[in-house]
Amino acid sequence: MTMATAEHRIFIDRVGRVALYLALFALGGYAYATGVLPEILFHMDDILFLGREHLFLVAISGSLAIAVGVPLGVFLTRPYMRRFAESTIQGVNILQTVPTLAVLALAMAVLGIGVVPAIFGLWAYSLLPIVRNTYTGILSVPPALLEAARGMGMTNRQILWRVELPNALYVIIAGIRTALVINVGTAPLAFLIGGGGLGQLIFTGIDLFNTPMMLAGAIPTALLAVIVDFFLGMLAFYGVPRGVNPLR
Amino acid sequence: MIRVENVSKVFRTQRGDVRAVDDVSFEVPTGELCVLLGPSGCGKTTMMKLVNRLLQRSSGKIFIGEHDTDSYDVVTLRRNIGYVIQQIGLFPNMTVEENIAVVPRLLGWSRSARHDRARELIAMVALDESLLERFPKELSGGQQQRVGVARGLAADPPVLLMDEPFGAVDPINREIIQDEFLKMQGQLKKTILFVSHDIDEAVKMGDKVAIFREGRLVQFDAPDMLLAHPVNDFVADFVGGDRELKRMRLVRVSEALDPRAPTVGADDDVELAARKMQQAGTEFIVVLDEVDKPTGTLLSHEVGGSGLCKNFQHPLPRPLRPRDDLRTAVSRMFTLDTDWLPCTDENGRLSGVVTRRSVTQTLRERSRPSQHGSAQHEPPEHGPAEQT
Ligand SMILES: Nc1ncnc2c1ncn2[C@@H]1O[C@H](COP(=O)(O)OP(=O)(O)OP(=O)(O)O)[C@@H](O)[C@H]1O
Ligand SMILES: [Mg+2]
Repeated sequence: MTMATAEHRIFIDRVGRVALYLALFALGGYAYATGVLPEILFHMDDILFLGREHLFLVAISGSLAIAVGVPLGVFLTRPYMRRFAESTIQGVNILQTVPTLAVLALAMAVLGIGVVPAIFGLWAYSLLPIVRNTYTGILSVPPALLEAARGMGMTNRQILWRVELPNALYVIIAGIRTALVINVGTAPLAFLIGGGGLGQLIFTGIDLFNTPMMLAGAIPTALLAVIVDFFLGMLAFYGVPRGVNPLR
Repeated sequence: MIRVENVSKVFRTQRGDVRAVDDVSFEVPTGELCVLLGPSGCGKTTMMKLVNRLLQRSSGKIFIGEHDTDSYDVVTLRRNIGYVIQQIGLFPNMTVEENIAVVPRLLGWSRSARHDRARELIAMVALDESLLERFPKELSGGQQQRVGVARGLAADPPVLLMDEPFGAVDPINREIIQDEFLKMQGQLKKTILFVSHDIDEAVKMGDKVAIFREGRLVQFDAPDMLLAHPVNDFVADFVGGDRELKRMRLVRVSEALDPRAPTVGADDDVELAARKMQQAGTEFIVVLDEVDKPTGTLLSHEVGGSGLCKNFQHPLPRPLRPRDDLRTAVSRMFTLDTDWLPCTDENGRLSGVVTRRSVTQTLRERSRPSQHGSAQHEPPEHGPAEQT
């Protein structure tokens, strides 16, 4: 990546973030002015309790997705997998187009009702960006680096840990970032199969035509997504070595 | 020592077999640098990768020292062969220091030993120590290439494979790096395979030059022999029409001094000078002071009558140094429109005189086929190769 595009991206990133914060601030002001805010805060106990459930769903399904997705992505890049890798990735792409609700419904059909099918559904849905980014990230490591590494006498394992993974790290983290943000935004649907979480406020609010109740679920969900995005952004910025970090 | 015996490499592709290396044999003695030279796609990189087994050869044998490369564990083999790849290939995720220390780290050197080695090497390739903390993307192309060379040398391997190591450097800096590398090689005495497609670089760097064409080794010779006796039209074309001029770069002035050039003392009589010139059959004589420093020159048609030489002498053309090459000498002769030039040592004493005659004679003598080494000949394609 050239300096120009990297700076360009950083700029867009900053502008986007500032716009987002301004929008949230304006929304808060509007909510306060119309008297909706107190009504939302009325649900504070529920927000805290369900928010914790929500976070639990995200944390478990997200970390399982990372724990499975990254190794799976790496596995697909191994020479003996080359033959199956492309078709697997194609399959993964098709899976991604299945609606979230359908995934959850399928999970429920197999695993029944409750937290477990919810986590399974969210896990399956976040897996895909992680696998895909790990796979393409590693394949886009320049062949010259691999040749240099092999020519200097690195074993395949050393090449993976010292060359392939560090050079693909930025792309892998970008995949995790996408996956987790989607995960947070999808998690409200878990309520529909009895998984709990902030979806309870949102869907009950909709059913009862209770806008403040719905917002009491929606706004924390959105905030959570922003926070997760922010932290993974920081991780990408500070966690990826300067030499392979397009942001630095 | 690297010995290549009847090695071939065939790539099987959809559009048929490609014989990238075709029955090649040659030997590089320990401590020598052999340049693999040839047009793009002639198999130089492939030849090199067969040595460290990045590619599996189709037939033949390659020995390093006394051992078949197949008898080594492949990882051990590669860690003992420095490798500088064509695309430089520094690891962007590592600092310059970590890049240089890759092989030492693989070999389990301690952190402090690696650090010391990196500092030593960065100095050896004439870069500033402060660059050690930078990442490759923060270096210029030429600096990256120097780091690549340092990385190849890091574990002090006896054998080095270098694939166009100075390809990304501009011509002026390339000369500088080449000179530095030659100086380094003079001390390190590595056994090196060095790929190039630049005849000037090959002639300058190589103890031996191997010219490839479509996978075949066409000629394997010392640079001077290659330039003096190209085995066929292909090699003659490749080395270029100015090959005699190129040869001049290989010969030092000290090797081409004319032993017949006369001298005379500053306090001698011009009559003596005239006699000496007549004896030697030259048009000029160099006048020396009492410690053999040249003070001027006399020309034969001017020395009539008598008197002290120092009263008749002309100023001397700017002297050459023994380590200058003949191209410099000849070029200066043309500039000054003279047939001869004096050569002095670092103390200003006369080492001798270079004449046009001594230049041509030296070139002729050096290229006597009797000195011809173990050249591998291909039958000439279109009759005798000698062309002008
Ligand atoms: N992996 C491969 N598969 C098929 N053909 C190959 C492969 N690698 C090289 N070749 C072919 O072998 C021949 C020699 O290639 P090689 O890379 O050794 O050339 P080279 O002399 O190093 O050229 P250059 O100066 O451009 O680097 C070329 O015709 C090339 O197309
Ligand atoms: Mg090449």
